[in-house]
Amino acid sequence: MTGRGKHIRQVTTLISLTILCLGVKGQEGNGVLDRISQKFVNYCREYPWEEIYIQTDREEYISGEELWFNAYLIDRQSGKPGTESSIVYFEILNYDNRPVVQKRIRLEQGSGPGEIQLSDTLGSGEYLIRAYTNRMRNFLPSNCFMKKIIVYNALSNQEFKSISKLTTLTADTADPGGSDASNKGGFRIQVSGPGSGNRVLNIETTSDFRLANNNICYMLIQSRGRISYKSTISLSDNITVSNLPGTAFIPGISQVVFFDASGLPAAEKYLFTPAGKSGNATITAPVSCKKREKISIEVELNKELLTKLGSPEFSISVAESAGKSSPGIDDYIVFGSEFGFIPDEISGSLTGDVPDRIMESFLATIKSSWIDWKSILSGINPVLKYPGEKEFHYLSGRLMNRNIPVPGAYKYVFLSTPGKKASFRYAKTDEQGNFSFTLPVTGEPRDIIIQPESIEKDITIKMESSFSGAYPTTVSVPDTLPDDIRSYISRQGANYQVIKIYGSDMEEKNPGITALAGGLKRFYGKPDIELIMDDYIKLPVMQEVFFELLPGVSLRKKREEYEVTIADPVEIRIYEKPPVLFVDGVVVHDPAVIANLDPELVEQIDVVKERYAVGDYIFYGLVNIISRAGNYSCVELPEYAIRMPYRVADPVRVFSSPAYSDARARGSRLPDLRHTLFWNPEVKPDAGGKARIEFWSSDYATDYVVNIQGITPDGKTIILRKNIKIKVG
Amino acid sequence: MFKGEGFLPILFLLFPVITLSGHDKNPGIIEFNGFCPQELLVYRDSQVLYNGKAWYKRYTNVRGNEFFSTALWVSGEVSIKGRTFRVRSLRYDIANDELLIRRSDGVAIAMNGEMVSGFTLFAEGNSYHFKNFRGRGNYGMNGYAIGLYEGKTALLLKPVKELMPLGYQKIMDMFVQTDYLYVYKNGQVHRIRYRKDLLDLLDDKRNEIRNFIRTNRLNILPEQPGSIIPVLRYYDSLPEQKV
Repeated sequence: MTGRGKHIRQVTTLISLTILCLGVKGQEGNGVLDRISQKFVNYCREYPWEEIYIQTDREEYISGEELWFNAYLIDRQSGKPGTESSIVYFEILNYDNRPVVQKRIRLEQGSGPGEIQLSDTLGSGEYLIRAYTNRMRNFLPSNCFMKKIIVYNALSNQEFKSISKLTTLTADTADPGGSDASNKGGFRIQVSGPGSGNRVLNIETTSDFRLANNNICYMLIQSRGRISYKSTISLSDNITVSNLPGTAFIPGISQVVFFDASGLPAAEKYLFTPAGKSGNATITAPVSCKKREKISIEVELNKELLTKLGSPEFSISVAESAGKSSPGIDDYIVFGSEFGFIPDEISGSLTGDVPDRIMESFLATIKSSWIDWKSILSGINPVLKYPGEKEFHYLSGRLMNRNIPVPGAYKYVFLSTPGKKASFRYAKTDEQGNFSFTLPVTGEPRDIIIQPESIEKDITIKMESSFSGAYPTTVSVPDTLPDDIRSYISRQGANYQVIKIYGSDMEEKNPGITALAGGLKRFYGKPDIELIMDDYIKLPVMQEVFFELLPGVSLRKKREEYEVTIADPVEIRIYEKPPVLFVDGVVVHDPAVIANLDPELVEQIDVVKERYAVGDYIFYGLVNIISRAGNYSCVELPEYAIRMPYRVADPVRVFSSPAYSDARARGSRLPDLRHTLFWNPEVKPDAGGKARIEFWSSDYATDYVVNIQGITPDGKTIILRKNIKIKVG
Repeated sequence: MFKGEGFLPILFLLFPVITLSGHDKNPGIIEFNGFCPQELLVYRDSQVLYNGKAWYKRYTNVRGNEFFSTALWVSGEVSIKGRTFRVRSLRYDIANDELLIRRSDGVAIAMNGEMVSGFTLFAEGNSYHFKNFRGRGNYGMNGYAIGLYEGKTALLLKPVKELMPLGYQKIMDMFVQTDYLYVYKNGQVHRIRYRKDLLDLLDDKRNEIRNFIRTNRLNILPEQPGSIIPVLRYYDSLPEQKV
């Protein structure tokens, strides 16, 4: 080989290596961005964010009136109805920040109707509706659905109190400096351009930053957990200009995040992109009508709302117009609860109409409670104290000493449901004495007894409310009402009194269940002895019953105390540990309770002689005394135990209203002064997307608004509003 | 009938009927491998799954064992209250009709038969699905059985082991397996020993059944339960006779 050929070969190799290195560098850049994107996608999948939206029938109420509502659970990322929670906690907080109403609402396929009767002792003022799931409790008090309503009490002379300020943990309080606080030194972003369409980003960097990062940085834009744009940016000068297409922004709040060359966040900025209002449904309704006239409303959904995923549902209210309307489901979801409480000037007006200046200053202060880049990049999701309640509701409490603050750590706690079919559950306390049981999400009432396994001196159980005790900090101020409002309240109050006097025929959807639900089968299956007391002659005391009729089981008095023993049928000797005793399926610690029972009250005695296991708990035989009443009424509840009726989901009544279909009804002299003419939380359109709603107008001549809200199975929102006037005469 | 070691040949004949597929992961199935960090859920699930009398060994100095297919602990699935748990250690005692489960601490439990609605054993490369017919209407036949066919009528196979006392011959007692075949019809369970038992049971449509068997040249043998299924399926498809 000649020297020249050798030289050419060396040069070729050098060029190839250079090209290879450049290629590797480019791939490295893509690799960093892809890695960040993948971590982000994983985070949002494993750590989703739930939103609740509550549609109420009205915005203003009179104390004592019914408030009808529908709760929607929405998965923030997909916008689809949420499926990871089955219970919504609905509360109304008064102006002193205390709950005046608490309800648990059952959700099915992402929505659930509810109804509450406001107490007629509520004072006039602004009240705060807040709603959350158990999972959302982790982010309270700021990150939940919140909406103000007004309640007037015409009979009370108390002054009207308004909630002037809601202080919650947004970036301005929790993280001084707002979202720009995370901006590292040497990095500054300015955005120019309209709220929608193309935007220009001016990225101002220092020479030190560029030197340390090889003149590159990475940009990722996400909105509601969806990545809409990502790119590698070459930093050329002090100011690098980046033109972003309008498609880089999903309508709503977008987070633009910049990462340095090593993939660590360098700066972030929130931008707002308004959504174009597009009518996706039409409503046909009369503009005005007379009193006691039949009103027909036809709703037709556009074809784009009809999906193969299932038929969309929506809720509809026809109620007295309060002048201003609260944000619809589409406007609410723009911010949702991700950024904490939204100030009135933002939430009170429809988001598309908020002036840019106000929006920008607001965006400079917000911080997402969901998208946490530190967690995302570390790959370790935050630990949630309160899990989602999909199939089960969590009933929690604490075992502790009543006098000294010593928790009952690592102890067994029993949950029993009194009944002829014994059910048994246990939980173990943690080091703080906390325990939890799971209950199926049903509406049926349960009679629950909770008690510790071992009775120690002064031991007690404190049950924890399933509602959050973390309330937003509100400031209530007395307000003076103008005279026209006072006369309005007086009129409204009179209407309410008339309705109250002449009654309504509201029916319960779930008629009152008087029987308390127990188990369907005995937890221990078929016992070794199943003694039916009526099959034998009557014996005077339980000791004799045991002696005569229960072979291998003995109840006897030893000194001053009774004891029950069972012989192990396998080892043919008395167990070292005593058997567990039950009365109507409830654990009884003291054998004297059984010894002192009147045999006349006992219907059946079940005995399991062999060792029996439930989970990791072992019974060394068990005896269950089933009383004729079967409800544990023959035994006094010990003071260390708690007995409570419990309903996981509150029952919901069905809205009903008068019908004036015949002349007699129309001519009735009973006044009809309803403020809500119609409410249906579950309207199902036909296959063609059409729904027809019919109801009767009242005697109260005023302006009404038809408010339709809903969400389709594939996450499209349904919003319709139309005014109707009931004329005099 | 079916006495002695006849069960394995029957199982081979049943291969088209008994599920042969492997046990791929099903998203609806709860993995249950003992205790895991999600303590609360585990407590809830463990109390559902580990519910029964502590099992103790009843038989010693016996040839064979009381278990179905194998005396080893095998993996499987158990359905309780509408939920299916995948577990590592199951054994089916067909002498006492008890499904045994072993806890992570080694304690074996005879599962409460009133709670288990069915189970599948993955043994020796096959999967055997048993349903619990305890207390189901008027099936009469109690406990777990393999449902070979279930329509208006049903064909059930129940393997049972019985202890044959041989002590008098100065040799160890021995477990002998018998496979009982049952047909469920009109709310009653009938044991099928011979071909005649089946034909007598379906006597109300005797001519149609005989024609069907003749036309399709079916060889009905109770030793081959699979051969009975087409007959029952045809019987179920015939219209009800008016009285």
